Amino acid sequence: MGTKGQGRTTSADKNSDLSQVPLEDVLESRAEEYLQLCWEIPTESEKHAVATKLYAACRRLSAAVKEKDAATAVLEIASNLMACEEMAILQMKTNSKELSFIDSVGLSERQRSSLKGSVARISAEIDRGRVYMAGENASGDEMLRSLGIQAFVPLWQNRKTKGAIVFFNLLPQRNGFEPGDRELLDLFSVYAGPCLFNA
Amino acid sequence: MDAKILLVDDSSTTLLMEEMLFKKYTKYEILTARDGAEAVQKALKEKPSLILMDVVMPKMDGFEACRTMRKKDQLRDVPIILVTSRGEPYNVETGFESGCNDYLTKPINGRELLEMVNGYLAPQGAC
Repeated sequence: MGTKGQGRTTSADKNSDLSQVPLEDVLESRAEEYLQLCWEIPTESEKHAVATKLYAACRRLSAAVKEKDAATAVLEIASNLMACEEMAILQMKTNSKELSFIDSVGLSERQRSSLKGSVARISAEIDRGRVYMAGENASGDEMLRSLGIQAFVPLWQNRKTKGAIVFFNLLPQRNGFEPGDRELLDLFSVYAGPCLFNA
Repeated sequence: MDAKILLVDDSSTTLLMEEMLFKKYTKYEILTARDGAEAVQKALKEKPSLILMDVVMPKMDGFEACRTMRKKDQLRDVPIILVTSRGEPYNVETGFESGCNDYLTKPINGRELLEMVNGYLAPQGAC
C-alpha cells in the first residue's frame, strides 16, 4: 500500500527524495493519497483500516514538523495507532559507539539497561537499515529478540542511518503485530528520521 | 438536524483519525476537546448527541469527566463511549461504573467505531 521496500525502493531511496520539497508538504501530500485510498476501498476492508491510520500518522507528523515536536509525535502515533507504550527513540553518534535517548516512554529499568548495554549490537542493527517486526521470521534477528525488542525501525537522514525507534511490548489487547503495523513502521522508517533530525 | 458528536482526546493523532472518519462517512457535526475538564464545559454548552472520550488525559481523566457529566441533568442521558489504550477488565469495569455506555480499546478500528456510533445515533446522521 505505502512505503514497503520489497526489493524495489528502499526506505533509504525514498528518504533521499525528501530534500526537494518541504517535509510538511510531502507528508500532507501522502496524507491526501491515503485519504483518497480510503474513499476507494470499502470500510470493511483491512486496507481501509490501515489507510486510515496512515492518513492520521502523516497528518500528525506534518503538524509535528511545523511545531518541532517530532519525538512526541512519533511516540504518540505508536501509542495510539499500534497500542505500544514501551518504546524509545535512539540517536547514534557519528562514531557508532554511542547511543543517546532522544525520547522514550514506558521503559522498565531492565529494558533501558539492556539498550545501554548493547550499544555496539544496536548500532550494527541500525547500520543494517532494515525494519524488523516480530513474527516475520526473518533470519538474523536473534539479537533483537534476545533484548525483548518487538519492532525496530532504523531512522534515516540523507541516505544515512542516524538512529532507531525501538518498540518493546504491545499492550495486552494486541495479539501480536498485524500487516498494517508493518505499513506504519515503514512509514516511520521513511519519514520519522527527517522529521526528527531536519528540525 | 444532524447529530453532534463531541470527540475528546489529548492525542492529535486519534482526533485526526476520528474526525476524518466521521466527516467522510457521516453527516454528524463534530466538536472536539483535549481533556476532561474542557469536555464537561463543552458538553454543557453544546449539548452533543454523543460523546466519544479518551480515558487517560491531563487535567481530568475520562472516568472523572464521565462521572461529572452523569451528575448534570442536561448530560445524564447522552451516550458516552470511552476510548482507551487500557483494555484490562479492571479499567473496563471502572468505565461502566463511571457511567459510560460503551467501551472501545485502541488502536481504533474505523469500521467498528462507525458501527458503534451509528448504532447509538442512526438515523440522525449516518450515511
